[in-house]
Amino acid sequence: MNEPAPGTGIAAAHFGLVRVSEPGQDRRSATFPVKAINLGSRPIAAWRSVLPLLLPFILCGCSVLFVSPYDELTDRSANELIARTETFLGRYAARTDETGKIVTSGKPYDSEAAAFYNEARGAVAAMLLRSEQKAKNEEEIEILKDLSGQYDRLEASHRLGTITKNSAAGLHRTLRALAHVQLTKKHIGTAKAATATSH
Amino acid sequence: MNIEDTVEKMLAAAEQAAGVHWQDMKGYLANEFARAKEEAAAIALEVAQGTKTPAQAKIEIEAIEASLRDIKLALSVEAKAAAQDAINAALDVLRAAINDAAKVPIF
Repeated sequence: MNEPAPGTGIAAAHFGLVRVSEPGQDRRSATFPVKAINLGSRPIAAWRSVLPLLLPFILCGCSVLFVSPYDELTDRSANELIARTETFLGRYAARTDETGKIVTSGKPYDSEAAAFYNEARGAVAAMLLRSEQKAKNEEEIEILKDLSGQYDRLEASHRLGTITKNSAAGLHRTLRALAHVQLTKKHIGTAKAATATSH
Repeated sequence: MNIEDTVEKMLAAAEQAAGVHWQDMKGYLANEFARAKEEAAAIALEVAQGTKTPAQAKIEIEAIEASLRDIKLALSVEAKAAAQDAINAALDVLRAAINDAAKVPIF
């Protein structure tokens, strides 16, 4: 099947879709590589076979739900934790040059650092408690459990000696994964909203 | 109601909806893998310079490994969201087509 150019083709023709420019990315004009989801060379035939499965949803007028809905409080808590972590690292992590040599010394492990690690784990536990109450939220729960472990690891490394920005690489990636999940949830239905507003 | 036309429209709506997530997935995965490689190399250099101990590096590399599992989890959410949006967009088109054909708003 030929893929239409972004913002053109069947979708654009039937729904009046327009390109929506966003800084750095044009999300709504993106097209999905249909072959990647294995609809084969006869997508219409494939959809026809799927139609009877969709019938209950059509009749009840409801939508399918595979992912827990966006939760503003979890998103805000995650962002606050990220900000607090960055502030802490700014004070405690040493800076190194490209050869790995220290250029600005950090602070050794102390009671204040211990308090930060405990507070961070507490914030994660609070988020986890909330996330566990929601259905279809398994991945977020797992990420939050891993996040607590990442603070344990950073603390363990800090107890042994100087930490650097790279010491928090794993923690940063887990925080980004949590933030990515929040963004994904926030963007669910974005294309639908864009379609509706362009009518 | 023209079934062929409706299915074409459903497919287009599903593509459009899933495409939003597909673009996110591609960029996210490539960026994280590239960064993980650089970070592991930087930790090795810091050990070589005596900035940190091998014991610290072991813990930090374990943290990077654990974080890659979280990328997989985040991508799993994105894939589910793509499927959810695609199916719901197709359902909307189908409901609209049925309403049009019936000439009364059934759904």
